[in-house]
Amino acid sequence: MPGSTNDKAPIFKSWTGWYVFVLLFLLVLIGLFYLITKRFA
Amino acid sequence: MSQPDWIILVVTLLAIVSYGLYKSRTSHNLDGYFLSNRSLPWGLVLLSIMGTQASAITFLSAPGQAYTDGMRFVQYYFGIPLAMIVISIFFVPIFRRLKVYTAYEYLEQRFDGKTRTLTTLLFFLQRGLSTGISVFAPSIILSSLLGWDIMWTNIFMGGLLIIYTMTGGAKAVAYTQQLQLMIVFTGMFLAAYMVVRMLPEQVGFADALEVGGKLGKLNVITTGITGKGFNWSDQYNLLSGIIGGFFLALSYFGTDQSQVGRYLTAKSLTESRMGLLMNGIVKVPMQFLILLIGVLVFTFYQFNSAPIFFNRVQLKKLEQSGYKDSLAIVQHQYDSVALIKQKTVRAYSAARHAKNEVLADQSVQNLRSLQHESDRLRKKVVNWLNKNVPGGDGNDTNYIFLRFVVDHLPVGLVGLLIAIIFLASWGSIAAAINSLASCSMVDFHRRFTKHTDSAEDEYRLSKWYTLGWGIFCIVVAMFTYNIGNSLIEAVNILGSLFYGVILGVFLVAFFFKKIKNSSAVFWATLLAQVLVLGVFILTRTGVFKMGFLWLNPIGAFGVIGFTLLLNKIMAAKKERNDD
Repeated sequence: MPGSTNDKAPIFKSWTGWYVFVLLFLLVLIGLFYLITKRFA
Repeated sequence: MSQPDWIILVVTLLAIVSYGLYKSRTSHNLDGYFLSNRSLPWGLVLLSIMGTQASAITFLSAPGQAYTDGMRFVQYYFGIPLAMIVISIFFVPIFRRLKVYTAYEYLEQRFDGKTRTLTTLLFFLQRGLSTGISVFAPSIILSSLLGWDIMWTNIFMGGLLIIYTMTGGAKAVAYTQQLQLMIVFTGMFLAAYMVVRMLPEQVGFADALEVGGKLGKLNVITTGITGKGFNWSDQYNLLSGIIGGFFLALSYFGTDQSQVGRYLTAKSLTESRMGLLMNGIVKVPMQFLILLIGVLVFTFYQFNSAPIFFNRVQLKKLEQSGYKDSLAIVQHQYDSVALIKQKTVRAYSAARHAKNEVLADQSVQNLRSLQHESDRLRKKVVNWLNKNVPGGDGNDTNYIFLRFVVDHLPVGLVGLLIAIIFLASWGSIAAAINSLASCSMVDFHRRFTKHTDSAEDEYRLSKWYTLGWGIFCIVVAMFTYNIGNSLIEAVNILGSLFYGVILGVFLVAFFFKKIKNSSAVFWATLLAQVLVLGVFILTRTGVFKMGFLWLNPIGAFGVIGFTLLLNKIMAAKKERNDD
């Protein structure tokens, strides 16, 4: 990854941890929204 | 508007301008003026990114969108988290390593000066016009609702923010955006709280969701797949949101200087990335909550009479046309249906609380039929306005929430919510003007003047560019009013006409390292732009149907495809010539 050597990711060990977290967060949200849609349909 | 509302409005606006001026002290050079000396923490960067994207229309239109079309609009934002990841990995490290002021500066280093100039011009065209519309769109709504003079509303909407934007540059923009967003969120929360409070005594938040859901407003996830396959003209669904939204967000956050300029103000690469990634986390839930307010307003209007059309100025036009009598008949029918609906929705709520499922189901069926009838009558009015009334506009989505605020919220809160419209506008307009000025200075002035200016001179000139763009946007807003409302719709999709192409240039720069032929990129950019405009014209003339979000991937892949093709042709030609 270009330029990623000089900065340290907070909380996670690397930035990959953050990217996976954001991705999982989106997937959880979509899942939650799907359940809301089904529940109130 | 009552006197207390006026006081709250004026005090809030003056407080923001004063705070902006208080935070204006910065070093007298371009680093200080355009990038806040690259000193801001990620929290401030996050709020600045959010404040730049969220215009007044975001807070006005989204609840109205949920009211008319349900919650599915939230899918439009699904591409943002993905785009934040890609920008954090590939875009930000390069921009920061090269210490650029603008995104387009990088293109000269990677390709050549003419590619940089072309993309900057596309940016000027798109951002300059759309910022003018960002001034006009909320102004015309406030002007219609409150009877304010449009010229003065435009001047206040686009003019007051110039004071602190010109004086304090990026730092003043970021600090005022922080305060603006805090006020905006407080006001929106209070509005949501008040909607639920104004529901009948035994009807709570959960009941409100049940009613909205049963009438199809909690359709958060939609696939866009119909009996005939995938519907490409469907604007908001899971696929268009993720793919089209991703390309739009990648282009907007990765290559639009109004956003690039925000995260370049961060004090380190880590702070830039954190600001972007946190935006990827909070943006979708935030839009969900704003849309939810629209569902609550919809439910409120099931228990209370709703206007048949929320833009009174347009309704008055219809009253003064040949449709006066027809409108009176439809209005009478609409009111009668509304009264039966109010009784039915109360019966549904009572049945739910009594756990009488049979009666609740029956009430829901009745409620759906009545809603269908309401929609049919409302659609008649919309069609008359669209097709038969000169200067008619059948889209009242942007008026729904504010009409509710003015008609039903208590004194004080009305003033606060009108102030919110101004503040949300100022946040995005200020960042746009700051970015337009930075590109004017860095991408044009510095390159095309024959002498070298001192840091102090550049700082002074940048202030004048800021003022110039501020005035330009107000003039565009005035011009828009003279042309008519139809232009708003055209300019709303302006972003998608240019963003994909600009993104394509950056994608070639980042991911096709072997492409060194800058002429191939330049001509590919022009060809892709023609392609996007061609596709757009075909969709507008009805040759085929397609949602505007798809223009973004077409533009991006168009540049990549044409570049590869031209690069090959030019290389072959060169080989032949060498032989």
